Amino acid sequence: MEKHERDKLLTNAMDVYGHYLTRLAYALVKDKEKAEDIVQEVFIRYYLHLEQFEGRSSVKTYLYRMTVNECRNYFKSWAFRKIEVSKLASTFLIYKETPEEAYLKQEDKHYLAVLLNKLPAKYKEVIWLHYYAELSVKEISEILNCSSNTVKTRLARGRKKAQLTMSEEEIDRAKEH
Amino acid sequence: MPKNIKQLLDESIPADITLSEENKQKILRKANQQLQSTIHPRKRLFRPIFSTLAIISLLVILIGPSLSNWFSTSSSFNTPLEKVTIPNDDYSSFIHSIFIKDTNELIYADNKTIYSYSLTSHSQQVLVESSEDIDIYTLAANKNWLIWGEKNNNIYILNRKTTLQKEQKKTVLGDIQLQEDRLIYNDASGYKQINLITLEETNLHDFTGIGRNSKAGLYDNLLVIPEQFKSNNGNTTEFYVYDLTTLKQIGKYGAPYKVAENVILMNNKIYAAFSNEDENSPILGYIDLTDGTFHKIETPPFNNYAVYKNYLALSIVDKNTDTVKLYRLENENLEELPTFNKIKERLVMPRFTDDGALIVNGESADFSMYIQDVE
Repeated sequence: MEKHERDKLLTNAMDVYGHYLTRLAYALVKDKEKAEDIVQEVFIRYYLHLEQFEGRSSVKTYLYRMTVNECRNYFKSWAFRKIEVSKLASTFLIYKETPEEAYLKQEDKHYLAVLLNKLPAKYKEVIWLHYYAELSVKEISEILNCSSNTVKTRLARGRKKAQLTMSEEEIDRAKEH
Repeated sequence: MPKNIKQLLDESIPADITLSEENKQKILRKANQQLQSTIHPRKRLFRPIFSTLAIISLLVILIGPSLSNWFSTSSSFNTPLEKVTIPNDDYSSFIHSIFIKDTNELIYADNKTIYSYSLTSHSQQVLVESSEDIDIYTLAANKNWLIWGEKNNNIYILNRKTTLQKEQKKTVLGDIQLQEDRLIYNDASGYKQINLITLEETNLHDFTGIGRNSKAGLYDNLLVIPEQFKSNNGNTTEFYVYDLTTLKQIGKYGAPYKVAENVILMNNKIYAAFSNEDENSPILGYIDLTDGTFHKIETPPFNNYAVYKNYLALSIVDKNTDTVKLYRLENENLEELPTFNKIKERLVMPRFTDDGALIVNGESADFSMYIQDVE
């Protein structure tokens, strides 16, 4: 594939998915710089493997899958553990809110994010992918490499744990997917 | 509880968390760099083969007076084609090198160093050694000035005559151009000009479109800035022409193409590789500034081009690859010149200097560059 075609496809993918992927990555890792690094890595990998993509839907699934996987890798990484250890150590000295915590406490409307933050990653991922990225259960199952039933179960449990209530219409819409 | 969960989730993330235009440009650059390094893997993978070649090359170096050779061609230029081979640096440094005809030197950068290679003495000189990574996409030079950006968003301005260096905090998006004592650059909001003597900054153009597919074109005192706009009949590109002496907009022209790449201002014409999404290969066309008419130039399929007066360099597509050929342009008809015919390696990145020197990069193992002065 020629360079100008590659550039065009990458630019287009960044225009369409860049904003949501960056915000999704931030929602999962809670670190602006890391979220930007993750999204950069995802788009570069996409650029280098462009020949693999034929349809728009596979690109979308690929980009979201890569983003979720990169976020998972970050939590396994030494860099993250180092941050966590230093945070833990600092709580023994004096408790100080992180900028993110302070931000989340600013307004009541962020209570949902606070609740979601406390969820295990597997529930957090499906809720953000379904409600924020507006992906169907089938798409999420492809992204997370699990069955549709697993996604539905995680969605239901995640909603319950996050005290998410939904209107009848929303429940119907979720079932339809 | 509010029912719009998406909105609630969105509001829980700070508003500035997004993929900015600046970051998109950075990603595109890094992706390009990584692709290049994939295409041209490091030679150490073939160390056993190349160590033998290296010994032979060393003997050649010791015997020969220089690594640069003068090539004679059957073309009719006053100056023959020159091959330049710079040892000990790699392709990614040379691909964006700048040739300055006045001083007969090539300026290029690697991670933290900017070099000058004299084609007269065939020697390399370090111009700048930085503690930060240099952004090679924000490198500009002429005989009087050297400008470069670093990853910390600082722009450095070095007066090459006085060696006086100044520093400016700027968020530059990558289009940085020098014209005598003027520096033109863009940030997220538009194009600006800095007078390098006084450091006075003037706003030239505010962006109103949805994006750009090309750097601005600059020639003499004219600057042309392309912008893409959405319209009911599909996207179009508008070109804004500025007089850098008066700092006033002197013209606005449109073309019914979504994409206008590699915009070049030359011969009082705005050249670009135009394309729409549903077209496979771009077309080469120009807008005549005298009457605003659009003209198409019939070319073989190409991936890249450069134009100077009536000379046109095209990266001609051949099966799965391409290489540069030089043409003389007469009344929109092309006459192929034999300038590069004897070169077997693939040639890429054709670019003309303001004063008519064409530079192309070769893709042989020694990453030679070729310079043809067409004046």
